[in-house]
Amino acid sequence: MNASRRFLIGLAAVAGVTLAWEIAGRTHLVEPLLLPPPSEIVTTAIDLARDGYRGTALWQHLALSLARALGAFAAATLVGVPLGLAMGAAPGFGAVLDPFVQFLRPLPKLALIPLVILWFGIGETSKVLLIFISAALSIIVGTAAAVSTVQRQRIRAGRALGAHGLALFRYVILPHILPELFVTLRLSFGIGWTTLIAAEMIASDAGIGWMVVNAGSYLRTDVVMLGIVILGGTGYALDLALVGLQRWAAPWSGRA
Amino acid sequence: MTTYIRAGRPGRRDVLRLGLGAGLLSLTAARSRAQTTTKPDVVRIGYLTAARAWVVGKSDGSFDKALGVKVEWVPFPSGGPALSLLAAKQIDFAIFGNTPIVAGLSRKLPIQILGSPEIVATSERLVAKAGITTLRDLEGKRIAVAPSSTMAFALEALIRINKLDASKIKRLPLSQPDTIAAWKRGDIDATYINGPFWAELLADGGQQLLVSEQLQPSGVFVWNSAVVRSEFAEQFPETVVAWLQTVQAQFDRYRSDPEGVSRILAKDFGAPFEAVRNTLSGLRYPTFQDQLGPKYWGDGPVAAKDAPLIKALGDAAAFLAETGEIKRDDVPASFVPAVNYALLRRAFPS
Repeated sequence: MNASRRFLIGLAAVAGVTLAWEIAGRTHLVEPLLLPPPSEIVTTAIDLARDGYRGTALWQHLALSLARALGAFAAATLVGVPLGLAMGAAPGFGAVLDPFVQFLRPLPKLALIPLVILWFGIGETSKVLLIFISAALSIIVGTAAAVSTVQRQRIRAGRALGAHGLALFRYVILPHILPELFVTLRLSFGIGWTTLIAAEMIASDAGIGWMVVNAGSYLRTDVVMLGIVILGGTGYALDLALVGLQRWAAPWSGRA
Repeated sequence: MTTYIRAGRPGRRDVLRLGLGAGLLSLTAARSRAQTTTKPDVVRIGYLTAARAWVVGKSDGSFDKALGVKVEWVPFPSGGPALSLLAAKQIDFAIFGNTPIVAGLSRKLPIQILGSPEIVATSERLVAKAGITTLRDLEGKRIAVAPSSTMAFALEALIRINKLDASKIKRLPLSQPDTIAAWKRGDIDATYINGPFWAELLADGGQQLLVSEQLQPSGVFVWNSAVVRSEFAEQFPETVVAWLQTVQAQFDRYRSDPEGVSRILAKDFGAPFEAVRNTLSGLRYPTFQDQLGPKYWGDGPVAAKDAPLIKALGDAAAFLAETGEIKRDDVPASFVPAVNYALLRRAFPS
């Protein structure tokens, strides 16, 4: 199935679901309080774009959430990839860190909130840190796993051909792990993005994640749905950006 | 490769059948519940996950006995989730704060108010670090307050009444346990907080600046209302009457034996006895007979337009609309119809 056909089918599916949803709302098949129809969400979007939500413009909420998530993700990549590489390349080092990483990784990050507040306060540090932790741990595990799949023969062959140290990494290991590394980054970004809501529960008064939680406590389901659409759409767009980056950086993905 | 994956998946028809089946199942379930009988199969009561005097009837089955049906107790951490539970028809009754109730009514949540059995007096307090001795000192300071709570409402009212410069006071939305942590770290200067949390802050050198009761002369009331789902009240009015009388019986029990009730609740909630006793004594408990008088809702056949609590509901709505939590157009023109006086009068004839 070619790409444009896939896209069209996807588009038709979205349009179909949106239409059915609107009809269900209009005919009161579903209570609008429980699931506001798309038209109401559009109206709310226009209202909020004009007046802002709780004194902050809608784009500022999004910009703040993006800054928190992307900042944390960038830091997680910078820390996680080298650590993961080291863990994969040096099994002894990996064995030392592994129990800690595996213990922390599956922890629900909500459980960390009280400690994060005690240790790092209620400022931006705590919010970014929470996203950082969840993204970095997945990156470490994914990267280490990718490195461990490099076949011994390839490394031996590289060495036999005179490659050592950086050259071995650059021409043998990196090309092998890059596709998998991108998969790891995509998954980790998703995990980091889902932590946004937890992060923005710490003494926030702005951000899309906070908006969803706050609106929910006042039964503003229209604002909640709008927030979900924004969160989902932004996450989707950023994932597409990562896929684009992968095509550029590792065009051999899926072909080697 | 695609064909290989597809072979393992259920066919298109299977998925359709499954969806249809699930849809039909939920329809029949909804229909069987709609059958009108004089008594429901089960009554689901929502309660706050903090000790409240009337919840003493949970552990000994008082409600099951009085209502003559199976009773399920559904906990919620604050008013926001209570609204969601009511909207999803997961609970029939609940008692929680007037601010979220106003938000729910503005969103056309089909619920009715059944009086105000708990009035906040000293249970919510404004506590500040040593050195902050007057309200005026709060300007330029950071105050933590639980978001969408009655305390947040009281704090704004306090700023307005005392003509403090609102722009100079940084309000930090923090849950109450997190507030304690922030206080210990020195991240905040003051907080408007519920019991038993303030006890810890006062022990830590905190200064009490105000209790919510002191705002009442200025017309600022903070209270918990009993609410019922409108649909439930129409179907089972007798059950509502019995429930109200049972709630009052629990409050009577508390009045005659505050220590004993506190002890039972402390055990039930796994909280220290002292904390529970102090929290409970921080609320005032007007009887339903009192509530149906001029001091609260008015003594007519319906709630009075100028009754203090009807006015306070309007103030809370105005506050929520001003902060942008609810749409101004959504605020009902009058809160009088939201109070089910007919059932209140039937439960407590004058």
